[in-house]
Amino acid sequence: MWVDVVRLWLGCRGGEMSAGHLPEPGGALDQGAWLSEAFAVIAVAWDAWGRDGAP
Amino acid sequence: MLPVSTATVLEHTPPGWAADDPTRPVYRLRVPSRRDVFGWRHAVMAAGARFFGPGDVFNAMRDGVRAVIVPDQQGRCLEVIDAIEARAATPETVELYARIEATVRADFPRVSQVEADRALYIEVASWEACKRFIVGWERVLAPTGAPVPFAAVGGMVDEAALARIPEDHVHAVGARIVELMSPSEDDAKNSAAPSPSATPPAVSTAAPTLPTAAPGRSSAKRTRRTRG
Repeated sequence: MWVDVVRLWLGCRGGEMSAGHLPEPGGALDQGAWLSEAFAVIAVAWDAWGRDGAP
Repeated sequence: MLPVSTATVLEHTPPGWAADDPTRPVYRLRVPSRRDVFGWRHAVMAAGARFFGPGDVFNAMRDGVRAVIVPDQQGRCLEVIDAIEARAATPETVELYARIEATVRADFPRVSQVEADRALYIEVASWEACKRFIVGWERVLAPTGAPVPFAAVGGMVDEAALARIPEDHVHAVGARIVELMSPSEDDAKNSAAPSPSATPPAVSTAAPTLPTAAPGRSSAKRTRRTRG
């Protein structure tokens, strides 16, 4: 479910002073390709939501 | 189940089988990491395949119209191509498209070249995806009906075993694997805050879908080749 992906992103994202952490062992290239792209989609949507309000 | 973790193994059965059919073939797929996707793309490119989507074929058709159709007919021809690409075609536009395609294809070989490149991409991308991301299978039969045992060499499916499975399975499983590499537009629209413009492009492995002629009113006189 996408809501679980969003929860995972919320748990992994960094704050203003933090780069966050990766959901799986290894480096950035070892993360799931689908999840990495999904995180990027969510991050853009989250920023837009914060800037423009809820859709 | 969304392909979230690279530790996940997903099962996939090609189309045409009921989910409860005990004889259905099952392929087990691992979820690609970003590094895996880089390797897959490298292998596809090293084999000489380049990505061409359905839109590239239609764009080649548009270029062909501008090159070989008389100017006063080009606008109508481009409208027909737009309708076909948008899947908003009527029987008349489908027939017109077939005539436009035949005219363009005769004098503008790049359309066929793009289609050939797209077909090669689908073959190579499917094959390389199956080789890298299938980690097992059950009840897979060769076209002859003989069981095909799963075999792996060096962390990839043995090519001799892969070559024995039905070609449509390679295409279907390959397409499913590509879906595991990035969210589709539909996936992204289901995310918490839709933002289609931020959706990463999904790599399509669908078969070329240019339409064929359908019954309808003949409109051949509307298209002509440019002469002299």
